[in-house]
Amino acid sequence: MVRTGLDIFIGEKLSLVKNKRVGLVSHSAAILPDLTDSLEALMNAGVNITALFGPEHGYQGAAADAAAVGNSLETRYGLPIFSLYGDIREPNAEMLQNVDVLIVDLQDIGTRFYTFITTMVNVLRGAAKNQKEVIILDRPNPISGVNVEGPMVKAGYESFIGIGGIPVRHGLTIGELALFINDEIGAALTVIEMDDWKRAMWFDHTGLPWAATSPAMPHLSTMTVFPGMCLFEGTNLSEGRGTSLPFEICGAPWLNKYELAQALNELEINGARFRPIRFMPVAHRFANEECEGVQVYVTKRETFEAFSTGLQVVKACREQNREKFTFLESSWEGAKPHFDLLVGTPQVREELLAGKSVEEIEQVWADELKGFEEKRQKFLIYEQRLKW
Amino acid sequence: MVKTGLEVLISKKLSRLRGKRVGLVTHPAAVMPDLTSSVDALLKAKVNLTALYGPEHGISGAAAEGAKIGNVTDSRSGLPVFSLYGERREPSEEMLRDVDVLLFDMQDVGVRFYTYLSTLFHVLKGAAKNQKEVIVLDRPNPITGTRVEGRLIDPGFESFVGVIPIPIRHGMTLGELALYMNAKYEIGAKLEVITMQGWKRTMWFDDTGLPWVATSPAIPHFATTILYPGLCLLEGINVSVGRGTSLPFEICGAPWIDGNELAEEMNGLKIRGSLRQQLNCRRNMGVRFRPINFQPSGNKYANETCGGVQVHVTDREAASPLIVGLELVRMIRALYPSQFQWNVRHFDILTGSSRARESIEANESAQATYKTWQTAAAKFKRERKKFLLYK
Repeated sequence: MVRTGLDIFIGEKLSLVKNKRVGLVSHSAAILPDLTDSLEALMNAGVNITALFGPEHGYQGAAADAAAVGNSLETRYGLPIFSLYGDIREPNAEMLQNVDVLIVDLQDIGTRFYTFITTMVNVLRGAAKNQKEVIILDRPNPISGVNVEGPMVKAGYESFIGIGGIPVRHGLTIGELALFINDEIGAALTVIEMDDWKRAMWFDHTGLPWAATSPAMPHLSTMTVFPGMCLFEGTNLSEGRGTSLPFEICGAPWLNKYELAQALNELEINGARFRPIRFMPVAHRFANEECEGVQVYVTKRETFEAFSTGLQVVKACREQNREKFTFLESSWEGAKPHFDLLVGTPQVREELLAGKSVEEIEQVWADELKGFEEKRQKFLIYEQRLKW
Repeated sequence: MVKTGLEVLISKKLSRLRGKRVGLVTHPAAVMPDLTSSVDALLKAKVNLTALYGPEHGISGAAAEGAKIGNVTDSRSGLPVFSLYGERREPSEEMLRDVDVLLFDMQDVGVRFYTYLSTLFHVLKGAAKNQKEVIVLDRPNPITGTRVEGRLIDPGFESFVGVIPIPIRHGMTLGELALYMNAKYEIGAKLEVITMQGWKRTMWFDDTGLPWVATSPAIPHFATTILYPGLCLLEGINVSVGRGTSLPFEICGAPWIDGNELAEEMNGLKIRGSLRQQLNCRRNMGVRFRPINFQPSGNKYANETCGGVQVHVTDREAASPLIVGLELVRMIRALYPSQFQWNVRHFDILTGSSRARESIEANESAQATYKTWQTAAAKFKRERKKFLLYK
């Protein structure tokens, strides 16, 4: 079984925080194998925790996506919780007043627009500005650390759902990503490495229990398709929120499920099959309306290209009905189209609208992606072996 | 890989349907391994389909639980779709007019109160009355065919979530149950079961190599079916079982529950009895409880923040979802007596009698209740033996 950074820290590295006041940036998905959460585990180990910091969805993990979260009080230990997903997103001097070291223990899911890594980067920045140490307790990238996909964020398109310098699917653990980014920030950073994690591992190889990282991220099958299917957030279709299969399905009342599934299956996309589906969200877009669309089945995850497949599905939906399909005009993260902020560039949307093929579109960032793969090499902590 | 009844029919037994008009009782979860639907697969095999019949959730699978469904026309094949979850639950003479044989192909989840077996029961009755043949295309019981758990139904507690007195977790396939019901209740339908190839009773769904398709909107994953037999009992009290979230039947909670407290109590459950009984019981749990907060976007407690637990299965071979369900009900009642409320009728028809509720009210242990259930289940296990089709 893989041992997480938290596990190793408690077992072997407690001296790092001896006599120090510790701020904990974490959430309910950061757990030990017996399901104890990071806060309880560290308190039991005698760590002097003085403040908690919560990411999107809040420290307790129940808030909806993109909902601003306020400061509050933790119920078990009476500790103050500072929200890093409210008006202030980078910890400031006031929040860090009673803190010497910040411990970050967040379970990420390996996709750039999932915001825990943005919070981690902001923590590095806030810590550097205020001369606080940062210790990152590493955790697995649940969709493995091998494949990288998608474009980088273009200048001017950085946002809370798009940090610069990495592609959509970066294939890094949160610890590796911290080292990669901190090269420029220069915070006093220590990464507590996992034991026995290998790059080719998917989360179900680790032997660890999965705790939902957010309300729409219940299972590994969700994360597997998320790097591509989340793009539907930037369209006027349902991405399956308000159903029990978020991101594994997409659709709209005006789609024909049979034609869509047939068109996609005829593409013979590597590692994926599509099943026609009819569904009715109980909330969110098209609440209580019957939608038609597809469910994505990943038949070979090792070669499945999640981001590329997402683009194919978006394209196929648009081609079925160009009048009804639209990209949303703006995002909760700013005035730019949400799709562009997710992808990191307006080019993909523009070229889809111009009728270009996904293969053509992807050519544009092929070199950039290769450059990233080379650049990330020196920050990799875990072995590149494909088998273990 | 296991071959379902549908596959076996198409590859080897199509002659059975030659020259016959065929009605198909099915839903979206009945697929071929490449995800082709039963309707498409049979049409492609040139079966003369003349009518379709849909269960709860409808032939398209999108309708909410308990929602009545009307008759429609299938847009693609142009075939009439008769609802078996609307005004009528048993196919009538009129619905069967253009049909010689009824094919039944549905993916079940192995639990008495999941209504596809009730539909099967009514299909057998309607077919018998109208002298139509029934062919059941068998599919796996996703939670194995070995475990039998839960009490039977007392007279007066029959309903569409409990049409016949069998244990809650019956450990049979729908093909086996068809044979059992047809004989035991002297329905007398002309019945044939096309058995699967390669299925063994000890298999869980993920051992079969088949793709899982949601059997209803709140059973999205195979993982959902493991705890469903027990967590569904909580629909008979005033807590959310995660409908309206992405984790139905893996979580439960309410705005007045403290998740940390409930998880701690459940993980440290004090069990009465001898040390050996206690150890057995602890093993029977096979689960761990994790405190969570969640906000259903629909259904019970919509848009309210609930405290509760997620049940993590640590050993599915050992886990008894029914003990888990009973213990949760008992614990929630003990911790929150002033907020706790029964939905008396619903809880009773789920469990099949008023006794489980009464024993919890009398503060008897869940183990005591479970023990009486298992005596009845053992009797059923002997009775079902001659109807079993798989080893």
